[in-house]
Amino acid sequence: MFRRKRNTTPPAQPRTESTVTVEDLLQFKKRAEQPSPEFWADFSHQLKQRQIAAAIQEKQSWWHALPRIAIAIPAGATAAIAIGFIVWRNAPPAAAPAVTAEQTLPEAKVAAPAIATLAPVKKAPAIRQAKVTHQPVVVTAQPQKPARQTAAEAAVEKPVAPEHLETARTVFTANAAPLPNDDSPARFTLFGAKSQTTKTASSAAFFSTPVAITGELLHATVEYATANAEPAASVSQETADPRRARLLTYADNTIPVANAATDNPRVARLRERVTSRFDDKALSDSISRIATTGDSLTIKF
Amino acid sequence: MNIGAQTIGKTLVASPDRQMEADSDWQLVQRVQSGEVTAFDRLVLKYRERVLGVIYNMTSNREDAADLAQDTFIKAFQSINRFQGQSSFFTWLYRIAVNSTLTHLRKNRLRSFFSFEKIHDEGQNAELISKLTDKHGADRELYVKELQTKLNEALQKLSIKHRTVVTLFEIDNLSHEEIAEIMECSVGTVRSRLHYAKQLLQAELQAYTRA
Repeated sequence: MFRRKRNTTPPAQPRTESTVTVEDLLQFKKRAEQPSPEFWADFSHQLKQRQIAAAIQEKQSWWHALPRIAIAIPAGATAAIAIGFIVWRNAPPAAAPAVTAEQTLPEAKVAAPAIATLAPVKKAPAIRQAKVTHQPVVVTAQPQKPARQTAAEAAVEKPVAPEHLETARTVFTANAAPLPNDDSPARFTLFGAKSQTTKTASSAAFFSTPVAITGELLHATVEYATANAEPAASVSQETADPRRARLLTYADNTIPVANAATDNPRVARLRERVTSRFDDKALSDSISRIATTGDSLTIKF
Repeated sequence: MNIGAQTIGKTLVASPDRQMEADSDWQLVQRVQSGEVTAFDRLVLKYRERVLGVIYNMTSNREDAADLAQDTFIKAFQSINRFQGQSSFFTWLYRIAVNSTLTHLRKNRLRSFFSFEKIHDEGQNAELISKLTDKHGADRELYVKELQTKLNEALQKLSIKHRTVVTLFEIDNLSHEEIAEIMECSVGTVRSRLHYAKQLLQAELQAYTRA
């Protein structure tokens, strides 16, 4: 059904003398709104001024801007290079070498001499991470300030407060169990027992307490006896790695007993095992299990 | 016969008056092109009121209109050497004015202020005002101000293109062909826009047009 479209426009009115049309109104507007003579005087004056200004500007061709361009380009390039240099200087190194401690015992891993203080995650840069593995104990720590500084270096540089050492000692005492057929009273094994102890010693305890594993082990002249113990690495290899050499130096200085028994092959093996924990690959693997989100620290077991 | 008059004859159906006007303009333009700057002042004097009127009715702001009119003449002066007489000078000048105004209006679409000229209510205007005030029995001075405001508001309610067509046709009395050339559109488009614009104006101003 079609509806007739309503005509919205008003019907055309027959023009009479009294009728006013839109055209009349527009003509009235045109006639009535005329500027005054003063306006035209100002208009002419301003136009003259602008005309002269435009004529002067017009004469300046593109080559007049050449000196400015000649200054602007080197200045901009210098600024860009300077900014790039600053950014490059302040950028963190692409891949900081990690430090790992591998446990001599197959099940027990204690990495990183955790002496490096594990500060709150909030303030820590992205490099600093810590880890506790499902297997025994893996605590990996990287120092705060220098990215390339290893945990071992941190251990050397940062002496641990006695109370912290005490706490660490407690932790590892809990984890320690005498080996069968062990006739030495000072003989301990560090193991996780599928990490029962690791679970009990919560990650919070580990992270809140710096652990001086190396010092603890060597100080007690602990001997790690395992069936599948790796053969000791050659001394030449040890000294070839500067990090290991530093660690050994530290161990030698710290433990006079061990120092005295350098001739003892068991002590040498022990030293090798301890230093072998600071392996870069193992540390990076353990780092990958740590995740920090805001105030929380997530550790995968 | 010079080039300007020839081309105008081709492009526009110009009246003899327009033809004479175009010829005299072309002579002045040639003098300006040859370096006689004072000849341009004569062109300014000749067209400034019409150019200002077009711009003022498009913007409803006398200060903006003055600035834009000056801009128009400066642009014309700067590029007069490129004017080859393909159209009449006034069409070319109007095109500059309209384009400058359209650019200005598009830029300042969100901020538009009214600034009206003073109304001169003498002669023919006085007759119209008397007619209207007699009908409505209103105070003359107040009525004139109100009418001015309503007229400008009604124009500003139109789109920019419709407003331009109405201004050029009704206020500046240009032909459809001339408007089409200035606005670079077809004559049919001009007629259509004019028709639509008048309908809208009629609706807006019916309080004044009805007895």
